[in-house]
Amino acid sequence: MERLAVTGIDERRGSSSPGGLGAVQKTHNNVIDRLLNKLPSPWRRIIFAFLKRAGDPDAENTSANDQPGDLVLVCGWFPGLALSCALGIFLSGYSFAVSRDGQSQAELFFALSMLLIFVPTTIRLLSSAATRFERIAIVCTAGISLYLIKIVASPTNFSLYDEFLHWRTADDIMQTGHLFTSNALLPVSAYYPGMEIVTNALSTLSGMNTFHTALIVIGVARVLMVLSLFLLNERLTKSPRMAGIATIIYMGNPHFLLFDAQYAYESLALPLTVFVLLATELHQFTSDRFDGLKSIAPIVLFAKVRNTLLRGDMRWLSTATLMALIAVVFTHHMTDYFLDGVLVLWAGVYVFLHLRPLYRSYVVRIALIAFALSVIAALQIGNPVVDYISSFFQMAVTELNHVLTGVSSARPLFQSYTGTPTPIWERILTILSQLLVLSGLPFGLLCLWLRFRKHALMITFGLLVLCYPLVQVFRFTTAGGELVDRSAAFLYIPISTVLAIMIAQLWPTRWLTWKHLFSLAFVLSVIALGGTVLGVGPSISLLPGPYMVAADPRSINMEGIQAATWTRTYLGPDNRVATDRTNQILDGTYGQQRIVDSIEDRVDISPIFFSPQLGPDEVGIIQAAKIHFLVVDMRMSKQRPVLGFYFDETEVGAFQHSSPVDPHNLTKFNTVSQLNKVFDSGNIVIYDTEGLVNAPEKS
Amino acid sequence: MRQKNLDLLLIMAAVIVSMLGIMVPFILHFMVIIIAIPIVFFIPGYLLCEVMFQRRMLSIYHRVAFSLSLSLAVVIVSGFGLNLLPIGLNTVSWTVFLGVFNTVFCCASFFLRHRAQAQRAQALKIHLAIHDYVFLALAILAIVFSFGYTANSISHQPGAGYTQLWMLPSQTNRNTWTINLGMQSEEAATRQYKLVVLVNGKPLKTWSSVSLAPNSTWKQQLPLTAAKTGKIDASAQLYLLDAPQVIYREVHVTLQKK
Repeated sequence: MERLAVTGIDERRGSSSPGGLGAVQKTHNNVIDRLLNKLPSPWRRIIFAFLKRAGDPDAENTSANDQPGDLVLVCGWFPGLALSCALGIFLSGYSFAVSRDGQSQAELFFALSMLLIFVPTTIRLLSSAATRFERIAIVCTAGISLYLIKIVASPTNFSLYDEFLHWRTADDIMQTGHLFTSNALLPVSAYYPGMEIVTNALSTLSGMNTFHTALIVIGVARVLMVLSLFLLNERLTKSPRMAGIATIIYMGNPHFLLFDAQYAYESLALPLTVFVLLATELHQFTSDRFDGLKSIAPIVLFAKVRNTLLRGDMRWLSTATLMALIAVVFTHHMTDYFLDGVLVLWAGVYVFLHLRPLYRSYVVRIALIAFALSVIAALQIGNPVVDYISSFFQMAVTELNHVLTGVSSARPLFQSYTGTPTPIWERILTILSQLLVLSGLPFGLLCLWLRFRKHALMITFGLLVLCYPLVQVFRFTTAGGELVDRSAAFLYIPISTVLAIMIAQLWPTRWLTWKHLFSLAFVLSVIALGGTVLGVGPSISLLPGPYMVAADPRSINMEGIQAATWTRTYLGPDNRVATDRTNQILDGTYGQQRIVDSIEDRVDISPIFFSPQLGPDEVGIIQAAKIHFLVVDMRMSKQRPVLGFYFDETEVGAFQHSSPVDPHNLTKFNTVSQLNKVFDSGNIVIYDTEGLVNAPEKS
Repeated sequence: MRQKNLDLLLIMAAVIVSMLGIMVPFILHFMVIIIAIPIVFFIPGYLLCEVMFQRRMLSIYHRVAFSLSLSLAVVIVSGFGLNLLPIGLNTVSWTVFLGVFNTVFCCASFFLRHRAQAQRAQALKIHLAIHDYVFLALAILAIVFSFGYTANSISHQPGAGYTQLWMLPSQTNRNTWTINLGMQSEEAATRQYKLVVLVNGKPLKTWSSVSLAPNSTWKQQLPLTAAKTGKIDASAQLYLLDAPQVIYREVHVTLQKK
């Protein structure tokens, strides 16, 4: 038997690219071949067959794609799948209604609604029969359907915490007509107003209110995300089938259903980031064609004309990329930094592959420009982004260090801070989903290496994927748990590509049967459903129901909204108000009040509410922070906070509240003669502190 | 030629209607919304693509992605520009800017098409069978029904009602204040209340039966004059008539002569 080429890669293929990669590959292949030749024959045959399949260049043998000359686009299963998705949306609406009524089957109906969307679309996308147009239509429909589920959960008002923060910035722009107005709820958002600018444009031109405008803005962002992701993957893999599979896998990332569908700056920045990668990759492709013609252009007229056209295309692609890049930079900081990291890594890989001299590499140039723009944005006067980001990472790293060194214990998984355990089926689903993703990555990376190792962006994706297992360790910390979830939205871009390559290579279309289709669809649906449950958190986070304390969407109810609206009507806007987390966002938006908090004012107001007496320390906080009104939510004395804190993560006893707040601590203000109790709606009471602090000025 | 530049004609029509919208208020609101959406999200990018690439290198799917992204980029970048103007970001500035931008690039695109005399791409047709139309119609109906069902579920959601009570003083002169009293009912049904206002512990005024329907408001003003001490402790206690022993809501203020 031939002892070489067990890996399926012979030296001639491996050395076709100039520079360092060829030499590395030669050595690498020889080592692998020698290792494999030492294995017993059955094992060698299995591994050989696996490697042969993983490196098969003809795995995608689809003939059912739109040809350039086709003028008639065939819909295939698309209308039927659109109906399936619509039924999924209806079923999710039904699950929300059941949840509002307090019945117990709501989670089951919700899970079924997700399966109605994922399973049929995945089956069709895995099939080789779907046309390119059909695949694009299917992924767009699935993406929009998942977005509509989020709207159906709260169709009349904002309900997620971050939405209120950006609503305030949007309203400030609407009222003042100018940017960079201070926002105490999220000071950094005023310096990254891209999404709010778009909202302002549509709102002023259409006359719609901010909520309805926001729905459309994020809906458009969702379409752009899905389309750009599909086109990027298609460009990388040269296969619409792989592109469709990668896109549907991406939709199973923990943040796709809720977090990246909410009115927040990441929801717009992420689609623009994917577009920047697409445009840069198109530029690379055009640049390769340009280089190919350059040598013959002086002597062949056709080549000269084509060369001129390509130069023009490259120039315009650069312009488009730059414009989108600027939009990303001024829309969301973290997404921008992720993009910078990807571009820098991509440039590094590109240089390592020696595919082009450094000074002629477009990726290097765009990476430098991106980095420079990020620095310019960060250096805007008053921009707190450096403190904001660094404090977040510092907290996560410090906590991880404490856990690893035994100073503090690891965060218990699958348990809320009120002690409520996560249902068994959610735990199994979540663990299974992550295990499937993590176990598929090595095979996917191997397939990527065998098929696409000459492609710089593919290698970059492969390297990024390695970060995902590493960040999982932060799950055992309180602050870092959010870091892991946030990183999933970014890391799933390369993860979905790698897994799609694995599926396409290991289950080539010529041997694909219905059994394979259903099995793969089932596995991908488990990944999607588990990822969604992981991102949404306990089902209380998404499913509506009775009021819960410090539970974000479950804490937004009419009494709080009406109290906040009352403050604006009768107290006027911009009063300095101290209150708990939920009423902060309500008073800051519906009430248009100036919220006193630890982010903007660097003061911990929780002692005012937690202490049994309004002593000198508490009065000192009120006076120093110039608090004019205290908004007391009596429900803090009835339940422990679901998130682990009532005010913010830095409050006294955060994540360790063993009982609700003592009711006496919240009613103590009634006995202080200098405090006027001006409002009482039962659960919410408002005190005027003017008598205590001698009429502090309005902010 | 008519068919060749139909897209540009439609764009110009949308721009004109959009500009008319700020001058002529009786243009139907829904029409303004329908036109505003492509003007913000699609047209600027589409025109840029037409000028830059002239349908040479981008497939229709790429053109859609480029149109959306470039439109967002144009709006975001121009927002920073408009911020520098005294007028800032408002209806007039957006309408004028996007109107001028779209017009200029529309004309540029028309000129470039005319000059290039480029072979126009033939219109793509989507093949739909009868059952496809049925599926799509049912899908739209299902989505519309979902939203209707959800809205109905929210409006009929059971929840505890509540009543707001407030007291806000305003000083009219050195010795006198006006107390602004108010109640708003968010109860499930009409409730009967009794409201007692006390000053320095003694009843000043009583409303023995105030009937409030859901979502209705009751307001009153009371003048108060400071005593010799210069201090007034005023409070209002609200009772439900079907539970007259229990204070339902209470507010109080301390007024000090300055």
